[in-house]
Amino acid sequence: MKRFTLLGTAILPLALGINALGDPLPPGQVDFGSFSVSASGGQFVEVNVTSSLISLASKFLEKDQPDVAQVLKGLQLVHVNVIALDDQNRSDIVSRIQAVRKDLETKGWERIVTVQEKSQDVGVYLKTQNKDTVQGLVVVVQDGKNQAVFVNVVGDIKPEQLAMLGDKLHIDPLKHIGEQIGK
Amino acid sequence: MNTNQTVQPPHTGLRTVETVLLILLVGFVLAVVGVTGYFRLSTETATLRESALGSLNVPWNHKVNLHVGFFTTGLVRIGSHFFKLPPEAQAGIDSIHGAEVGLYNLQGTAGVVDTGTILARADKAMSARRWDRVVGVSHEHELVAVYVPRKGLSTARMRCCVLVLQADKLVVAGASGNFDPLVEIAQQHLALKDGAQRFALR
Repeated sequence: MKRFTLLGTAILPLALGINALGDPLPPGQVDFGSFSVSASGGQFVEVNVTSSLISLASKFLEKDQPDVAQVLKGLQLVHVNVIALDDQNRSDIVSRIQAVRKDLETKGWERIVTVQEKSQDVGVYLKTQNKDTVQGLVVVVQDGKNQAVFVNVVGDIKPEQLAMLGDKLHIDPLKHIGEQIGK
Repeated sequence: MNTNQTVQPPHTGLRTVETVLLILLVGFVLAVVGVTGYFRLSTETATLRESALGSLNVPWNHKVNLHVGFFTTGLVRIGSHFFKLPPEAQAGIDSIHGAEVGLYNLQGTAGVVDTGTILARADKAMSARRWDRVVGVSHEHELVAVYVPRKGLSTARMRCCVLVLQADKLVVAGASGNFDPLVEIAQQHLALKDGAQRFALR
């Protein structure tokens, strides 16, 4: 019995370690953490389009718009969060925006677009491999005191393709941000 | 001594009665399960309903609970081939392999709807069944959430569950199907369009 306990004690950390190593995030994926709906009933949008749904969309488009289908085939995940800010969640979300930006910069993401006008602050970050392959894109927006937007597209995507992606996948916030970046 | 004389002949009459009774019983059970199945939601959609109603914790009554499964949609598919339907309609019928909807009236929800709690509880319950939320939209105590299976999703095997909460109404719905006929009809349309364009260019 003691032998089994010892064996179990030895195996458990190893098994946990293997499990943790077995499912790492792809290089272009960023974990923004979980967001909860604000108690005041403000707007909350969360879209998480996984590879199976992206390939479904690309299959629909491959004859009509092969170039768009090709872009979609290079993607693994599209994640969008839009959170209305209120007195209860503002400080938490703003500090999370800052933490995400700092984390991206330390992890080798390149800030390629900065838009700061009025109370709006938009940051677009790109993760590349060998300077020519895009692994992921992150957009973090703080729209004054009212709204925050987090976008993560995992795969080969260019910032100017965001509006098209938002349009084809029917994700309006993504389309809106893509149009803003394109201006 | 001849032992063959002691063997009793089989009671074929009784066996026939037993078999008929068994067939009737199985038929009756299948009929009951089949008929009640029209008013019973699938496990995933029921899980979504339970998690939402459990979070709301208000009195409720159901208005509609309807489920058409593979058998019924299969009959509709077979039956539809005897009629001359437009190809788009035929593709639509061929695509749907199951659909269900549950509509519930909620009482006394004013001021007590916490969409965050409903979403968190639904996420947990569906995640345990290996379903993930792809869309979650909440605004002023209204909520829409869409779930799909974590694995095994393709155009040939599409499944989804939806939860909609609006004022004093809760709707849960689910659908499954094969989108290949729809993709095919879309591609045929595009091929025709391409052909027409090429013809026009000549």
